[in-house]
Amino acid sequence: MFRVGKYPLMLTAATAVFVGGLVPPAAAQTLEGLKAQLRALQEKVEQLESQQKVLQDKTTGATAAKPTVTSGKAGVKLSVSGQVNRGVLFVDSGDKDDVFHVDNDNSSTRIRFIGTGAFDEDITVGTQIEVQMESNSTASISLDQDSSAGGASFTERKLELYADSKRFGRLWVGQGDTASNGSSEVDLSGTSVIAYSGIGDMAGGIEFVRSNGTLGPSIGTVFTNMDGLSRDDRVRYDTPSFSGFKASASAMEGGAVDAAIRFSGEIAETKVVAAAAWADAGSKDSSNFSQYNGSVSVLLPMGFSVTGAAGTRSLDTPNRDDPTFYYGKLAYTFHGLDFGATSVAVDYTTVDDADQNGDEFQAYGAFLVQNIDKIGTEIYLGARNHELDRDSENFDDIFAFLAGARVKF
Amino acid sequence: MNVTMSTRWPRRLFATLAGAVLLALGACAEVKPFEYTEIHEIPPGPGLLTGDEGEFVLYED
Repeated sequence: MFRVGKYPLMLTAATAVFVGGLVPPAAAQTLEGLKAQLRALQEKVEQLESQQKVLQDKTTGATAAKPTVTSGKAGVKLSVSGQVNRGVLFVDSGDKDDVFHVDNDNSSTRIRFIGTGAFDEDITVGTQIEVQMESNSTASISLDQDSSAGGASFTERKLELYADSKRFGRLWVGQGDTASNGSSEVDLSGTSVIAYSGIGDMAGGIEFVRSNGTLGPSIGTVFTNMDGLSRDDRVRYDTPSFSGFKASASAMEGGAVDAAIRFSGEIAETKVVAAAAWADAGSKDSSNFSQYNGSVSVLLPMGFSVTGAAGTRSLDTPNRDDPTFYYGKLAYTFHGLDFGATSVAVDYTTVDDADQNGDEFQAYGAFLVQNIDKIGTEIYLGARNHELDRDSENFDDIFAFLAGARVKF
Repeated sequence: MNVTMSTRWPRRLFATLAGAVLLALGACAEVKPFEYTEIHEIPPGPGLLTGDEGEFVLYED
């Protein structure tokens, strides 16, 4: 870097003045010229010093220290996070097959804003706004479609606030998880981004094809994992955690109510998660059902995991049998690669009487998920076969293969 | 004696299994806390753009 110091210039000026006092009057004109040059040099030095200060401020951040978002209140936090989860799905439904470019409904593309603020040492108040945008969702696609399913618009997931007390638990108000939501879906396999008990999220919109070539019911119509009452406008209360146990209850728009008990803990280096729930759908569902459901997942220290889920539903509809649901998964997670864990899994599910009396649905599949920790990414692929037996009709099996990636940003 | 299979047996089986699991868990004296993230949530851990925090912290005080 080029630098100009003050002292050499001042020495030069003093010398010039001293020399000027010695020279005869005939040299006065030359002396005036030197003084003019000295003034010009002085101005140049001042300009350079000013420029140098600006550069120093930028380097140290003195001029860039002001935050772009500010708050007048202490003890608060606002954060933004999200993910993109896209894949390519191939389906073969007997007479018909197709390829879809999909948003993976196992865990949709979304963005969320979380705000928290401390009321005092015990109570924290929080807000959450989470919306998803699913273009061609795996749950909505159809063998009949000519263009992408679903509009490019945000749909609600969570629009809620809560007050959390370490002593008394948490009270939620707004659109969000009901107490029973997720109670059929606990899973420690490391493969839930492509496979969990809600198998309809992989290709749920795809229809079974009748022997005459017409489209029958979709996978999502004949399958349910009876996972409580999903998300809804509700008031919900969670107790504090006692030795890993926590209880919840919620009341929803339309008179629906539910309750759940959960456990999560580590026992002898083995991770265990379990949930059980009861729900009465009230007017939330046309069949006015009530149901019991639950799930458990155990992850052993060496990486093997076992996951199971079950549910039964009582329909308030004349002459309808009670649907039942069972799910099982075996998985193994290992660290064979430097950049992240690898998980492999196989699963099986069976659902009876979900759409009609006598329906017997079953599905089985195999899956692989590779984590790349450094870039917050999971690459996945998996295949599943779906079968439907119905008393009065014959359907071909549906085979689905999905490959894609979830990138958390 | 006439024995029939009740349509409510899955519910009873489920309730029995759930109770057994909960009792087994409750009987374990030493349970270390384990924070479980529901599978539909954005997973914890680093993000592509957000680094180790996994989120953009717009403001924190």
